[in-house]
Amino acid sequence: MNPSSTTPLSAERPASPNHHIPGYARTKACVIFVGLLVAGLGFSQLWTPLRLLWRGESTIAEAIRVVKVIPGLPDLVLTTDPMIQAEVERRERSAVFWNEFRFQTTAGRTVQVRAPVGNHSRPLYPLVSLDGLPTVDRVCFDPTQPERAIFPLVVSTWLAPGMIFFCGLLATLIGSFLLYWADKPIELPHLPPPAK
Amino acid sequence: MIITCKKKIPLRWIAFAVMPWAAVTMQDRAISVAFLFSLKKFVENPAGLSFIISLSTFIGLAVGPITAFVSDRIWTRFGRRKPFLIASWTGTSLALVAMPLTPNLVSLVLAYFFYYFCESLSGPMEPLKQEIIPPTERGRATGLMAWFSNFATITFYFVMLGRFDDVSFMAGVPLQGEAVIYWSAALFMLTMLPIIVLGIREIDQHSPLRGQKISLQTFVGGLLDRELSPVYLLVFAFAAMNFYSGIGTLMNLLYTDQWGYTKQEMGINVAVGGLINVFLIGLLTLFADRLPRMRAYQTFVWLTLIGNFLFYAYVNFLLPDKRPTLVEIIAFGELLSVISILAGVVYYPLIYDYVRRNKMGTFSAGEQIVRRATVFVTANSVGLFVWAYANFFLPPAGPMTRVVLREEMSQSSVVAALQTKTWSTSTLLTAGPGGGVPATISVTPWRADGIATESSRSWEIRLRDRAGERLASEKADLERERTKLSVSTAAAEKNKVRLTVIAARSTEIDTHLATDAVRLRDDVLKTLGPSIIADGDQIIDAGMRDALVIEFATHERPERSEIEKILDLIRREAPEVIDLRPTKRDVDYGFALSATLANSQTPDALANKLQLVLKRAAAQPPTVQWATTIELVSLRQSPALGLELAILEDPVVTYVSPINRVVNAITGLFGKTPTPELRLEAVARILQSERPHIHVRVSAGRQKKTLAITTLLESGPIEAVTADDAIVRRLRTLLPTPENRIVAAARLLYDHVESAAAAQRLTVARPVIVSKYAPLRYDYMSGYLWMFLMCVIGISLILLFKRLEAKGVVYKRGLEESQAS
Repeated sequence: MNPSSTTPLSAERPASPNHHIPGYARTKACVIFVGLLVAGLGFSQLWTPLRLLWRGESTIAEAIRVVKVIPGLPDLVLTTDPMIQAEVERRERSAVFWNEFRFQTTAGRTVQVRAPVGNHSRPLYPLVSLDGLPTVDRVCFDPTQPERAIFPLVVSTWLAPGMIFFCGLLATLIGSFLLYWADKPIELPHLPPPAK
Repeated sequence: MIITCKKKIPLRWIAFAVMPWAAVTMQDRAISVAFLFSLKKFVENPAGLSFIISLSTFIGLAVGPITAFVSDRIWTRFGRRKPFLIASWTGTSLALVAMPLTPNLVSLVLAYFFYYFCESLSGPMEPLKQEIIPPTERGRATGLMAWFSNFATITFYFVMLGRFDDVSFMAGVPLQGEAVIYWSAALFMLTMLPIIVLGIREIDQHSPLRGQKISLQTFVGGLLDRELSPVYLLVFAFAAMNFYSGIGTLMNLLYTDQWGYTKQEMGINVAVGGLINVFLIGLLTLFADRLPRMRAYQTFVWLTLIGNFLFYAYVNFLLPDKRPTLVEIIAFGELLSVISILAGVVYYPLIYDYVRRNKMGTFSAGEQIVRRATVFVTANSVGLFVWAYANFFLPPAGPMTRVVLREEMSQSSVVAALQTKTWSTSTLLTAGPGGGVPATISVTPWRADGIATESSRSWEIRLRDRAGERLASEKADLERERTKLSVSTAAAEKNKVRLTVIAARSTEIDTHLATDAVRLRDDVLKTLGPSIIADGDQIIDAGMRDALVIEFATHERPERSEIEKILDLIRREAPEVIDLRPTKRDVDYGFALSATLANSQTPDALANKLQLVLKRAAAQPPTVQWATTIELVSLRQSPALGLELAILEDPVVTYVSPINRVVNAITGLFGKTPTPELRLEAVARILQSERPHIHVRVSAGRQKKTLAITTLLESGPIEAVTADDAIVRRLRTLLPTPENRIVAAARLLYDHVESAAAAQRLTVARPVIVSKYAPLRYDYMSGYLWMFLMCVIGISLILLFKRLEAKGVVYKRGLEESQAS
């Protein structure tokens, strides 16, 4: 807010004529509160992947197939890259391609999981990489429940919650700065009479 | 926390005042790049896409200057600039939130227009920034702002854009990547809003302009104010020189159409430059306010001119193929980018030094109009210049044929040879007087790598054909009409009759143009006759060898880079090695090593030798662990097929430019110097990408300008040869056995090599490389000549401005006002 002649209600002491006190401490505290709420929301969504990244087991998973899902139609299982190429979508936004991976736990169990990130136009990974071997990616999973897995190198795993967390933190930081200087007087400039 | 009109402010104020530029840039990228993909969900037609996007320019030109102008003439309890910004940022954020939710084209376009209307309300943002930051600190502020913007740009391109089509889950709810991009930009902007609402207080300066009636007369009068109008000279000069984009949008065509780089490679160029700039801008910002602005600005303008001239001269006169590598583009791009950033860091504070605070909104309005209009005119004029240059100096549009001769010939010899016979009447439509070679024919040496030499084996012959040009233009119009009429299935159904007519006419034109090209080809073949290479002669040699394939098992997955490193080392020690390919076994991995077997050598002896060589190569630092603990699984003999083909270009790199020499010396310190066989390795990789398990080796042949290819003959079924063309006949002659299966494999290999080599700008020789209608060829580098002219005009205007300043017509009113407060 920008009152030009009145003293802000929340200011702790009145401003002298040559000084301006920014005031609005309660509103600025609200900015911090909202920022913390938003950051908390982001962090709550980051918690599971972070926990699996730090505390879970990690290994390399091999891409085994791709499932194309279109609502209202049976799922289409694609097991070769030429099959995938034939199914690539340019405009059909309801289709989603999901990569499925297989990996082995240290206990020797073979687990098949669907990557938690899909794509509308084509799978995130081809089934065979350029060197002719199955495509691989790092997977982090809960050893007690290996089906709970994340692929930490897939950016979308982090993007949305990360942005929310970042913006929340930024709002908190901005609010804190504003609050810190809310009751600090700022000397007003001496303006010369305006020229015509 | 921040108030305007202070004579000196702390650094934290500057940081806070310019931090929102990161969010503004993020929004701008979302609306300029991601929106294009959103639009493509509903519109495929490129004309429709560019039309919709271009409308935003008009909204910006109409609303932006007016809001900036009005902001000088009002006062509210919240200030005079802030209300516009609050409305603008709230509105743009709402529009971004709505965009991914729009169900159809109409609602998406409405959201887009609403976004641009709101965005244009932020016209007073620049005046507010200048009122907060005193003239003595504006250089630092501009540098810091550029840093925030650059950071947001990198984040957008590196992290966000590629996620557009992704689908993820948040709290169990599916979330589209498109929505994540728009909503992130909106959330980022809203996060910055408290800085404006609660963090900035505008000081009432009791402007004499306050309450002035707002009409067309006052608007025009205000813009042409005698204090402000001379400053537009600087604005015009800056916009005409177009610091940031060189030859503007033609730069993209220069990269992709002329130099053949992909959009991804262009992105790498932008991203690498951006990453370097993150550090450079930060460094430059420290010195930004220590430079005398006008003198520094003039210096940077001259440096821009010199830098661009050096780039032009380097590409056109130093590089044999007139095609810089990505490294060279990045090197020059970064040099010019640093100069342009410096010029920008000095320019904005400089122009506002001449403007008093109460007229900053009015000046901003005039500045927007002059800048946008100048950029519009200069950007279009560079296109016209390139077009005119192509018409006067480059081969004409018309039927074209590229032929290959038996021996190298000079241009005058080829022209003389073409004059030895009379051309057929069909191609003599534009013939010179008395028959002979048509007057409008163009004969130029051609090589796929773009290297022009005095004498050549391959020549491009073109005929100027105005009628053909008109037909090609008509076809382009028909194509545009077709895309407009078939924008959706319903539209295509509705316009079925017209679409049929268009399809028929397009086919007719194609046939006509193709027929003309065939006539030209036949004329050229007839005229040059025995000088042309015979089809099949491009196969210098073909043969069969015995080869050995050794398969190993390993528990670790072999990495591509490791395989390439080992293969490179093995081939140096054992030239008979064909290839080393990774394989997937039931549970683990393996790889197969192949090599040709000499007559006197037993398979076991070769296998033992190769195992030792392999282990030595793997042990060389950096050691490849998995290759030191391998187990031999099998050993088998297999036939290998070899071809040696004549090509038109040098198979290995023969010239290394000065910049590349420096880069190679640096990368050599890390053991990564590119080999001269770079393109041959790439050809092998292309062949492998088509058939992942193929064993192939591509190297320079024994003779000059030849390729040698060795591959294992695959054991699977191969289609029998049905064609009995010159190549098959030549292969039957050269191969030791006329067995159909072997000839078929050799023919298949020849075809694959021809297309893979073409992708690496290597052309397998043949009598006629191509015959078709060729449109006018443009040299986008010629746009630089126009740019030099613009730079000279810009420099002249700056000198004129300095004269006006010396005469006292214009002086730094803004700076004086700030020092008086």
